[in-house]
Amino acid sequence: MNTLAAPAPVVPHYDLALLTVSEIRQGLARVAPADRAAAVWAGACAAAGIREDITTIDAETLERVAEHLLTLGGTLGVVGRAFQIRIRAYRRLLALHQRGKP
Amino acid sequence: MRPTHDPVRDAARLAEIAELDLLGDDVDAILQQIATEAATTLGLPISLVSVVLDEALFVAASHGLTGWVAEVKGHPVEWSFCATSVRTREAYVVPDAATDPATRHNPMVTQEGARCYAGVPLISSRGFVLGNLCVVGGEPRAFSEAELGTLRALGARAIARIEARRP
Repeated sequence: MNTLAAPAPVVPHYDLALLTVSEIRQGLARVAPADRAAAVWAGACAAAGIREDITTIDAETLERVAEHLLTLGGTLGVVGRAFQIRIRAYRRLLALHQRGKP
Repeated sequence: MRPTHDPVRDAARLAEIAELDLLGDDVDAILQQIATEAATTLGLPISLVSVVLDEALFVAASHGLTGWVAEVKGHPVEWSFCATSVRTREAYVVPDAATDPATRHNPMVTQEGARCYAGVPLISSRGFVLGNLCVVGGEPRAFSEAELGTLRALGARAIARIEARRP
């Protein structure tokens, strides 16, 4: 399952939401021309095993998208690294919260 | 709200970070040594060589960092004190983050216990602010000009090392 049946929770106290598909696509568009950004998104979707027209994705799948971007290197790799850190921070903080800390 | 032309998101700056190959998993031993020297010289528990990306801060080297930030090697950019220097190109000092309006609601303060901060920008030879060399403590603290001078000198060594890695 890689789509979300319900919105991902915001991490309490940190007010941190899971990165969205829209934010990822906007991030790609900031560093690549529109046609290149669309092609990169298509490649990332193929690598993560999701459809290009997907609108919501779970954290694990989002992380696979970010990891694919990292493999591209250059500015896209930088953007992918930033996405990866955000997604990992979200997952780690949510897990800590669900375990009762912080 | 971020400015319309936010240097943090500037594509040319991100391209410079990519060219300098700063985002690998291997920590550069010299940058690590500089982080340790910054923390020990200023008597603070934490020091970072940070790289400010468009959506996250990346920890290129550190001293004293523990917990999830160390595991993740960074945190969301909106929580980054260092991003201020990317925008201003100046040193950024926060003597008491719990009372400073710019930082008092930041989760790195409210949840992670950061209380004082001093950082100097790491500016590449092409003029891009990559991130900061910074120190962080858990108690309020003033920073003297001499201490900022020490940080600047260490920051100059850090940028020299970063430039030496340029392909």
